[in-house]
Amino acid sequence: MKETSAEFVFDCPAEEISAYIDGELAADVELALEMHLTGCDICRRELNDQKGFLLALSDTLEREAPIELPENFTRSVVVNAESKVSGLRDRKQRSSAFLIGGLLLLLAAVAVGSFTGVFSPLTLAIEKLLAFGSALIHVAADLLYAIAAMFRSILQTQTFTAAFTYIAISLAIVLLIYFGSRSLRRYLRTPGA
Amino acid sequence: MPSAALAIKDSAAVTDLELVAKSIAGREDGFEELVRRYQRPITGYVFRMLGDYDSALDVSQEVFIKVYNSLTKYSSEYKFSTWIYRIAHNAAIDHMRRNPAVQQSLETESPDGTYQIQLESPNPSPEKDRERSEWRVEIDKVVRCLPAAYRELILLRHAQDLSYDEIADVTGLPLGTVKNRLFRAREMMRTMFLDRGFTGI
Repeated sequence: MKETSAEFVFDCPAEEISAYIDGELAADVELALEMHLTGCDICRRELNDQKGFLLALSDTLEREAPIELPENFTRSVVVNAESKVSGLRDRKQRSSAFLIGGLLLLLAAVAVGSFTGVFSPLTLAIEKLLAFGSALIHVAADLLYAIAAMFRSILQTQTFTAAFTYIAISLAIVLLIYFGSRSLRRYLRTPGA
Repeated sequence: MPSAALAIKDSAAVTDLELVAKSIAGREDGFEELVRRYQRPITGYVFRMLGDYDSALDVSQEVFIKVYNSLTKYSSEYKFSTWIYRIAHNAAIDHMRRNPAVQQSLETESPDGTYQIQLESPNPSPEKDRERSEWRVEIDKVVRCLPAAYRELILLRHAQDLSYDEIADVTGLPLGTVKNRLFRAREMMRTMFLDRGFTGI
């Protein structure tokens, strides 16, 4: 860079002049250009022309754009930004995920309790919950049996049936939990939106 | 009166960075102040890029939502203004890609001067003022006629007063390209003015 600057000879550099007016030339290039300008009438005129034009341009464009914002623009932008949660609201989403996970866990515990009878000495209210939980589980299990039966009848192959059933059942459970929690979360979120 | 002036001074003294931190901490007023600060420049920039009022409002709104959702990703290695212009730039380009019709109408001059109405002051003005405002209308028209790649550089430099480095950060263009394109955009504008019979430029 330094070597070239000493004998930087411009061939009437209109582009450099444009950057010079913006104050965006490196110091050495700027110096070389100024030296060129002292000896070149054409470039001096070019400099003046460009300067006048750019001043007028900035003078016009720096004014506010000819646009009226609606009165409630700020408010609606803020409200919209806050309702369309994704980045900042991670925490909220996470806590709702925890809530749903906790509920599912509770349901599972209740269900297990209802099978094993661990909770039998507890109060009537809990027993009712247990009954409800086990009923839910029974319904879910029946559904799964039905699905498995359907799959089995579809796939009559002898070798895979047993393994396939297990896979199908576990897949169905995973899907059930996934979609269940998703729709539950959507349901929980709607009143706020 | 003095207390009002003081309040204005106070709000200006709070840096963008502090407002960002406030917003991330969950303070709604932090983000609101950021929107207040940038809504005019951003909407103005988008409006001049797209040339359509409703789209400009929609896209600006998108920009602020994007800003809100990515505040945690903002790194102070960039100025906040550079960062927000970058988001606005991307949103405007996206919008033009999705709506090529808008782009088309920008390249050609529209015959009904809808913007003139908004530009000119409503009260009758003396000769000199009129000449000046004609100038402004002309400049706005010529800016609209520029290809989008030139128009954005002209706007970022002359309307938003960004440096070449900042323009490079906003547009993702190399510094040399910024310098060269800006020069060519200006040359094109000067030619357009000469074609329109404006001399002495």
